[in-house]
Amino acid sequence: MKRAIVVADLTLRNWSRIRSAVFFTILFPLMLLLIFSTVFGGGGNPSFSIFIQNLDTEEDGGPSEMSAVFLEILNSTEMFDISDIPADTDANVFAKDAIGPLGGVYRILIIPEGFDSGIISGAIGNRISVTQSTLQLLLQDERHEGAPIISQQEKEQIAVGAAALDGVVEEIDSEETHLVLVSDPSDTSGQVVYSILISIANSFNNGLVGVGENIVFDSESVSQEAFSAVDYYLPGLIGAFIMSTTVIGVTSQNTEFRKRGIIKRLSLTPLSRTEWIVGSILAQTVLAFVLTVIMFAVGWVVLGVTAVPNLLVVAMVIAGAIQFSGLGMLVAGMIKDVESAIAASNAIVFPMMFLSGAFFPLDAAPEFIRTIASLLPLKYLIDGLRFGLISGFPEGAIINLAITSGLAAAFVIIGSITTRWHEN
Amino acid sequence: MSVWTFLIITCLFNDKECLYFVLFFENSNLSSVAIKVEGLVKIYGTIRAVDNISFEIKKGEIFALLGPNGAGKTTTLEILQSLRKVTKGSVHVLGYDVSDNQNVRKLKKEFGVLPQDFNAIDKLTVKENLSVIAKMYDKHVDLKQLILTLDLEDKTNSKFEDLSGGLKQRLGIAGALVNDPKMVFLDEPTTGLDPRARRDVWRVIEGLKKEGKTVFLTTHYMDEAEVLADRVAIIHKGKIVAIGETNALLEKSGGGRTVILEDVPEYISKEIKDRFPEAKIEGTTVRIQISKLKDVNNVISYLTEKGVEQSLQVTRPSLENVFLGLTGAHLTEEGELV
Repeated sequence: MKRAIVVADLTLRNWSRIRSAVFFTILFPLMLLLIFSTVFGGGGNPSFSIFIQNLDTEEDGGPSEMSAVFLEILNSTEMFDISDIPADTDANVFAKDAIGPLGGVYRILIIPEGFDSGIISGAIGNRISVTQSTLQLLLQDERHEGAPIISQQEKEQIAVGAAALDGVVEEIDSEETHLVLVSDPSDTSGQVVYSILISIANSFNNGLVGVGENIVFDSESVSQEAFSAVDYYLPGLIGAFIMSTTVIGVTSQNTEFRKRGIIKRLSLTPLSRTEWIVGSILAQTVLAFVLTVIMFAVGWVVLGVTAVPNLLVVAMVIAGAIQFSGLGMLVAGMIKDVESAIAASNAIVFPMMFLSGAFFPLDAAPEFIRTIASLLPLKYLIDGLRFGLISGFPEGAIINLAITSGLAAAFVIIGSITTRWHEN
Repeated sequence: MSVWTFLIITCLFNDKECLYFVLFFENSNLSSVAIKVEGLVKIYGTIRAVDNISFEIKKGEIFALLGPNGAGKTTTLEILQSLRKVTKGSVHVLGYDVSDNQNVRKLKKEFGVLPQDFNAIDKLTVKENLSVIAKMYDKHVDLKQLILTLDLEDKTNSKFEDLSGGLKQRLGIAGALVNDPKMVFLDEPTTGLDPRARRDVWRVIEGLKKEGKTVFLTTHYMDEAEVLADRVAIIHKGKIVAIGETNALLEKSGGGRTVILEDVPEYISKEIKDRFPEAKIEGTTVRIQISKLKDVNNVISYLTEKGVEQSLQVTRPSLENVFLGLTGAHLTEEGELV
């Protein structure tokens, strides 16, 4: 054990004197944490730029009553950064000029002429249609439980009223009113904006018909504590950077020390291969802890993180560091050349970072991405950290800890086999 | 038949206690033999890197294994260090059979190594690098004293990456001595160094002999082996082609001394060639190979008689001559055969 500690000590000293290693182990994850917390955890709603051309105007040039109400609802969502296009200009030309040569978001909502009258006649038609449907229910012979008891005479009077409404409906022009959204195919947020506009239009329709919101969602958390958005990103970032630091650290040290004859020199002392492996893992575990502590410290002091690591989180950090040290040993054992080995570890690390849900929730990803993620060891480390830190399900952390520990044992065994100490 | 085999057989026929004593003495460190190699063969695929070599190294001597690149020097050395497995034959170092895995850790505590192209950790200082190696042993020498001995005190806190080639090699030798070893392996200790740095390293190696340490040295530098080694083995294509005390090898296989005359007029060169047919004429330089030192007198008498007053130089045989005589090839500075 004494010799393993010497190996860990030399690894940490060497690491602390390589600026790029310190940057990518500590400073880079911190920078990403700050960026993520600023971009996603600022507390404000996202703001989508949109041009609006209202073609439905009054004689004095002002917006019609209904189009003004619609625009007011749109504004009240605080989700749009609206630029108006005058009714008498070509919307496409205006938008292109406004965006300028450097480009920008090309997204135009056109409120057509006749929007106001169309909406009003449509609303009246809808209300009459609802009333007719209700009257038809009352005229049915079959009586629903709780429905009022209607006499035959009353039914006859209702039938007369319903027939009169049929005549009114024929006189009302209740065609659909079409809003037009013009967008660029490269608009990555186009689908989101489209969904929001549909939601607003539906609410607008319901309001006009007089339908109240019968279904209302109340949000509750299984956790007793209140967390900020950055609390959710922290476990992903910690997991991702434990992986990258450990895999790349072990791979680069093992291959470079082997190429330069340092491993050979150490193998000529009483140091054993097992002690070398244990020392390397120990050093990476210490680095993983340093990274975790610094991320939490900055999170608590600067970003308002409230999550507090418990023993399960500590165990996850240890298991994760061991797991990815084993993976690093495996890469270094299989690829002898320093540059190729580091390239290979990057090729493993970066896709895994993005596919394991470190930076975005996997729920939003396509099915095949979720299938791939379930095969990646990083997913279980991140899930375990999230469960341990911010979820009210410690069982989730325990299951992920068990999977990560199992993978750690497997990687270390295979990595040890590929780590050569003596020549044949 | 080795002396030990003879003694064992003798004891077998005479006295059991004698046999135990002889067996104990042979296998213990009390023996005067530090390394014993018998019929060593190392095969990589279809290549016989080491081909049935045998030799012994006595305690306290500097032994040089001399040969070109690829001759099998480092393979032999790494087998002695138990880094590589033996294909055939037996190898004992300090009484330990290197093929027995149980001996390896014990053996490593007793020898020190300067590997070929020695490197340490770039970002660590001289003291830290030395300390890393020292802490791998249960006991080690005083590092301050070791740094002083190797004349590295000014560089104690310098990073390895900032050291010159010579200083790096000295740190490597310090690393080989950190556990106060009985045996030191030095693999090409001066390759790539400038002449001054080479001489510095030679002084350190000579100091090891004075401390009574056994030194196994591999080199492709003839002068290095000649200056440092008590005994030399010349290895060529995996086989030992000559082995013995350095002086004896020079006398036996060095082709004698050479009398060199420079700026000799052509007509005199021809006369010298007539008198000494073994003489070689290269332009105005004449080289006359002589087998015994007293033959120099014959040459001088002849030249005096002929009234030749050119300056005369007598060179002693070198390992280069020995190597040339045995292999028919020269060794370049880079260790290649030409």
